[in-house]
Amino acid sequence: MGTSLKSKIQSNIKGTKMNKKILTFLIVFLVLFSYSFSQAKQIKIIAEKANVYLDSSKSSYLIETLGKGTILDIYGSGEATRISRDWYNVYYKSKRMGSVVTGFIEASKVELLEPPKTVETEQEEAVEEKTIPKLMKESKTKEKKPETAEVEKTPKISPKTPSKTKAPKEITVKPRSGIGIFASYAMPSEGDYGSGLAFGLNFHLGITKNIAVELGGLAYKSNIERNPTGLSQGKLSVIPIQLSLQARFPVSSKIIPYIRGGAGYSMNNFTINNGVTTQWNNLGYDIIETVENSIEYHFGAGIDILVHKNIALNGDVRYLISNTKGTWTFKNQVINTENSGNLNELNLNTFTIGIGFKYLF
Amino acid sequence: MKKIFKINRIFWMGFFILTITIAFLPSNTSLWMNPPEIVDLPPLDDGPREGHPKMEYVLYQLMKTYVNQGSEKARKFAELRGIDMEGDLVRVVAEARPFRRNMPLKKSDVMDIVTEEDFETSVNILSIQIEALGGRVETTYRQLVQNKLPIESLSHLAKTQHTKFIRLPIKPKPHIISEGVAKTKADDWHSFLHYRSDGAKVCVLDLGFEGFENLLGSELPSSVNTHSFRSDGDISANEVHGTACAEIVYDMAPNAELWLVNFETSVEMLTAIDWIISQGIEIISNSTGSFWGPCNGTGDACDTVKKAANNGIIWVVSAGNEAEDHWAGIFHDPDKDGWHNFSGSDEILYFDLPAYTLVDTLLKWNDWGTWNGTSFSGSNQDYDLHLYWKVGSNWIYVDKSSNWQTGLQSPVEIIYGWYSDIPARWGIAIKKISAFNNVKFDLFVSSHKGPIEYNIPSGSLTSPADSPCAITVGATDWADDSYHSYSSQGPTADGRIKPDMSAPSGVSTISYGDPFYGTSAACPHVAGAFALLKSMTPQTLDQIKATLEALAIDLGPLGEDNKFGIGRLNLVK
Repeated sequence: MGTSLKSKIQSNIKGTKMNKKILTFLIVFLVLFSYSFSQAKQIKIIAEKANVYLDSSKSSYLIETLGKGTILDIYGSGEATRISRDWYNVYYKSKRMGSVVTGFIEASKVELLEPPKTVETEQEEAVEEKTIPKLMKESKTKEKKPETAEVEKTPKISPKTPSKTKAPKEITVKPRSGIGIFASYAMPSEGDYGSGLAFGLNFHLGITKNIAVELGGLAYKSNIERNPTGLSQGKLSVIPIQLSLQARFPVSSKIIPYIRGGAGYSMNNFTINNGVTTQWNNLGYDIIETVENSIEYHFGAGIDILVHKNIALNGDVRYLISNTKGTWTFKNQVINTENSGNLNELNLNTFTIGIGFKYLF
Repeated sequence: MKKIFKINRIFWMGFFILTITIAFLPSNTSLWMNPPEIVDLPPLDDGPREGHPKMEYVLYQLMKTYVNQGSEKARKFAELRGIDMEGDLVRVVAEARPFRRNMPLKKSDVMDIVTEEDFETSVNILSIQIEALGGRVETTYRQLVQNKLPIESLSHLAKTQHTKFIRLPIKPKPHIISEGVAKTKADDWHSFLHYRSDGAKVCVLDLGFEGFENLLGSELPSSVNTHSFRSDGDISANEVHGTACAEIVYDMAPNAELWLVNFETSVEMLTAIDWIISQGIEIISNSTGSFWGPCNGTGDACDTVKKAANNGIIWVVSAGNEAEDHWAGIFHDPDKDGWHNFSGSDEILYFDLPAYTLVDTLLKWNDWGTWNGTSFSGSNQDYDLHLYWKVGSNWIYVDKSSNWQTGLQSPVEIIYGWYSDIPARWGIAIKKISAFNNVKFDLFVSSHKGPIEYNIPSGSLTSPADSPCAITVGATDWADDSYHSYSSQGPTADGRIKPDMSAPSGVSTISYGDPFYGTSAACPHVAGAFALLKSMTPQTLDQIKATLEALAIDLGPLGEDNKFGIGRLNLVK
């Protein structure tokens, strides 16, 4: 019994010694692994697909195919991470395998990512910055001057941090198309023509980030006060179909002011006030007045504000220039005669201001 | 002794009774102002012909009175006869003879074509002569020279070869005898605005506009244009007739531009037309007329209307108020005594006048000759007009008009100015002096109540109501559309239907206060209707005329007739 115990103890002690080594190895391995992990570079797959092989050869076993955007850790530590010019040794957690796997991936299909910064790293960099001799600081700032003229005015920032004073950030706005509706308030220039609400529909076609074409229709009615030489009391309806060219100046991806100009065809219709025609009818006369359709020109400005990725709020002001002609006819029912004449220079110039919505595809 | 006393008592009693009788004879048998005494009255057959062939008989009488009885008597005579006098100057119209240097004057002045140039020389010479004779030319129109001349110079002027005839100025008379606005539905137009109208310019052409200034802005527009063609330039002329007519025009057409133009004589009216045309006037309302002319659309007045019409002017004229004052007939002398028989053996046509109402009679006959555009060739059928006054059962001769008609003179006789201080019965007789045609007479007796004896309303139009270019208006009652019996009737002497339409009369005006009767009141309703439609619509005057004719409410016999024309004025279908 005593022997067995001793032998057990000795074997245990031997066993213990073996475990310690293994443990020590593991600990060291983990530390190194952690360190290397903490210092590991990452790559990102930029190709549509990238294969992970068992060896740095396309003829070796294919472990898995990964998609674009997949981020992988480079196996190993330090700056030198590429096994060769063409291959990276990587590891990642494989969904297919259900565990962390290592392998080799072609360098041409990935790009190297900057490692995330740690607090210690920033502090080290700040200290380094402070301890740099003034001259060198100045030289640094002087070096920076050619890059931008506003360096002295800008606050001290990490040289790795992008500066405001550097080249403006490029706004990425893609030309989009859409359909819109809007309501506006139409104010004719002619003093005898009353103002009123206008409603419209438009089709917007983005050609480039700065140019768009819009085809739209607007409809409004104006109450006419009697003009002895112009139109009688009645209602004038105007429906201009307009083709506009927009010059758009996005200030952000969501706010796009524009100016516009264009031409169109205005469909005009006039109806004399029923009370007036009835009065004349009772006396034995008929009055008819017509207004011709006309070409119109317009210019204006507006702003599109993207409130949703597909919906923009629109504000628009524009001035329509339209002159047309008309006719008047005075019929005598009693003796069946007619007097008629032309209405020249009917001024349909109108200022509109309105808001609307656009659905952008 | 006893016998002598008896005889003496009878004698003295008879003398006493006779004296009392004579003393208490009624004194109601006197004529005011120069009553002719019975013993001085000429017999019915009044002896050899007096007068001057180139002078109106009454001027001859004036001249004779002046020569024989002096200036004062002459002025009184003139006052009685309504002759305008200024001291010893008498207002007359001298008709010039056409004159061409290369053509000697003929006995007959008939010339196929006469232009104004033909008269220019004569008129110029006449004017110089009048000035040389101490007179003063007031105005001229073609062959007519209106002037004031010393009475004693009348015969000198008559003798000159450039004088065709000297007469009194014709004075158109107002036809007097705005309920009419509602009756004609003009007020339906007043409630709304005009339609593409150029406006309307309407002229009231009348004798006077007294008191118009006080009505500006109320019964008349706030501003009016005025012009007087009277020799004295007096727009008011103590006559409210024109103002009353202007009120009616304004009531009918409140948006029209109103012009007031007055005159006194027919020559002055003729001179007014060129000025009216030059002012761009489109409508004339003329509620005056005269009896001068053959009533067949010819003569100075009708030519003036024609001239206005040729310049696009609508001339609206009153028909006259002579329907009850008119007799017409052909000379009829079955008993060959030289006097016209009105009926059976009755050779006197009587009429009754109130006290102090002037006798105003005119006789004309259809022998004016040819109208050459400026004058009539004249008549050679000589008749006279005699005036009588009824005393008891006797007709007392009072006066006569004995103008000569020997080929150059107008076939007209006028007796004017006598009146009685009590209501009186007057009579006229027509005497044939030298005539070989049985002419058709028209007799007008004005200013009396009711129809004259043997009244014939037909053909009683005045001039220029007979003009085919005028819109002639008769009178109806504003309340019930009944015919007013005084309203002159057609046809014209050449057979045309007149009046053209009728309009309300007996309406209210501020100027008269009492209801304004007569075709004078009717005429401005029609002129106002033209002005209303012209100022409210883009129609032409011809279209408006056709419209009014179509809208007129037919009265009397179906269709057009000589009482109502095409119907009573109406402005709404």
